[in-house]
Amino acid sequence: MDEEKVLVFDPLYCTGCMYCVTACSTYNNGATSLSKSRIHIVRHEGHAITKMTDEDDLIFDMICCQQCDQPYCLYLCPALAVERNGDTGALIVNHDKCVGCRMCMVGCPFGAILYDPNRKQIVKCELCGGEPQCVKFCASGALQFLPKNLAHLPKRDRLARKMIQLRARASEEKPL
Amino acid sequence: MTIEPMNVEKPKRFIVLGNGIAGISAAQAIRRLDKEANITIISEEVHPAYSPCVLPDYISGKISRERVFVRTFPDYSKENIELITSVKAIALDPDRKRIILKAGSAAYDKLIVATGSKPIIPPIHGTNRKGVFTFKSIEDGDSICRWEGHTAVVIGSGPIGVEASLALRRRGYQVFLIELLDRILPQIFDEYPASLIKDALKNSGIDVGTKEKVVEILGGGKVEGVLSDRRKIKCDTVILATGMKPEKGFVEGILEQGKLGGIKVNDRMGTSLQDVYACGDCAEAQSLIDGQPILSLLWHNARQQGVVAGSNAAGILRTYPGSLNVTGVEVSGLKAISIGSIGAGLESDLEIIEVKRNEGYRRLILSKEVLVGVQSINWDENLGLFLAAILRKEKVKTYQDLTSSRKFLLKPLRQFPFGRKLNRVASRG
Repeated sequence: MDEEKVLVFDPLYCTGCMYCVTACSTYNNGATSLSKSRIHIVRHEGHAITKMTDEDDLIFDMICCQQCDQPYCLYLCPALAVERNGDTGALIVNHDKCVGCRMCMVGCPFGAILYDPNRKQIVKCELCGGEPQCVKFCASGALQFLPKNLAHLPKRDRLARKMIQLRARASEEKPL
Repeated sequence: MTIEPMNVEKPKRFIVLGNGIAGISAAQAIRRLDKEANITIISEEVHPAYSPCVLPDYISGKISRERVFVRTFPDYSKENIELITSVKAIALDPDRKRIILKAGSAAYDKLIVATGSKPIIPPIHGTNRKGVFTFKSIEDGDSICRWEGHTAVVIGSGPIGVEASLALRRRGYQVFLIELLDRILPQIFDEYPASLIKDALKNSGIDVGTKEKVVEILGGGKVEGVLSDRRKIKCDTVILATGMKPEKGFVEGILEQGKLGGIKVNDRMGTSLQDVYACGDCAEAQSLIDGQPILSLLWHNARQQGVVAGSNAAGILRTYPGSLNVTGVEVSGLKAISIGSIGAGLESDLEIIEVKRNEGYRRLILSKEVLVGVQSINWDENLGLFLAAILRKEKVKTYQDLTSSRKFLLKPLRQFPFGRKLNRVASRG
């Protein structure tokens, strides 16, 4: 079996263009609506956690379903509507079963589950059946869909670059 | 040269009593761990498994009857689980490992008792009249849907009582909700949030009476009214929602009982008899908050217990972290959620943090600086954070402590039984 893939987001590359959000809502709702997108880009200003340089004080972060290994949504659902897809590993809402009680929203620690008031049902990121549109349309390469065993690579890359910067700065301040 | 076959172990026989969520979760867990096992679910009911939690939605007409069912008959055979319906087990022979059915008997290697709960019929006169309903099984739902009434009295204001009132209101009934204690939802909400819910119920047209005791259900063959210590209500329908008790059936007297009347289980869902496990509403497990015995009677706890019981029966050790209350009620636009314990239930060293925001209200209950409960009205966001904090027994000083730092989310929860890799995690111990 192929290794399951996961969404990987690198805030360093995100420009906040919202292409992913647009693609998500268009693909999944048939209409472009920022509020109906299953992926969200949040803008941080000033207090960026992952500050790379001193000038860099605007950063974007991505909020989306993490397809948890220990999903509260699955555990709280009274209608057994949240299921794990065996192929993609995504947590899928079965709309034939969902009654719209929103207990999964109560349980989700990320706020990544949406309620569709028209259908009176829950919608969440289901990885577009294994081919996430947000990744396809990501303009800057911040979003990637990587096998689990490679998911750490962007992070390692970023840390390595930060270390190089720090070393460079340290050698400037205190020449050996 | 012929190769001698290895000593092949005979597939184990698992019998699950009860086709509720605990029973099917246990059967599924066994199937995931043991592909060869013979798994049989014996049920007294005629239906495949259904969710009593969504029964109010069915009665109010929001969803169709089929949607109440969470499984279909082919689902069982797909997983190679045998389902025997409308068969009652009447006795147990633990020495010979046989379960005696109404017709015949069956041998088991491991038995899982998941017989669930049944409604408590309060000791008042007239509960056998026509038009008096309980609110648990799909048959109850069907008969309420068939019944043509106009005025209903709901006795008891737990989640079932409140949801039944709302469902009947949506069916066009005039509804009276009567509670013996001083507030509605007494087990899951403290006084102030309960009063907010009460106001919302009143706004949606339900007459709520608290501190009121029902004395008698009046009428002849049919219900004609309800007499309380305060008034006489003319009605044609009565819903008894005074609580649930474990349905122990024939195992009563065979398996040791806890002090709350459930089947006493340890943290592996094992009972006093070897190779017999109990899970779901009939089991008396410990509370996640304080470790005291508790009858949880909630869907997600039953599901969790089913997985634990099934895994242990299949030979994989797994412990149950404890039961936790997570309940939500939605009353005409007001969404009330209660997680964990309430202030009224715990006595010592309680600290209460109350936060208000526009129309939202939140009440955090801390015991010895550890978060043990949250009640939230009209304020959905971040609730999962509190659930995670309660499960991790997180120490909290202020409200902002919890909402600003989410570091504790990174701490793994070892005992959460819904991990995906059930096999692997379990065998690691």
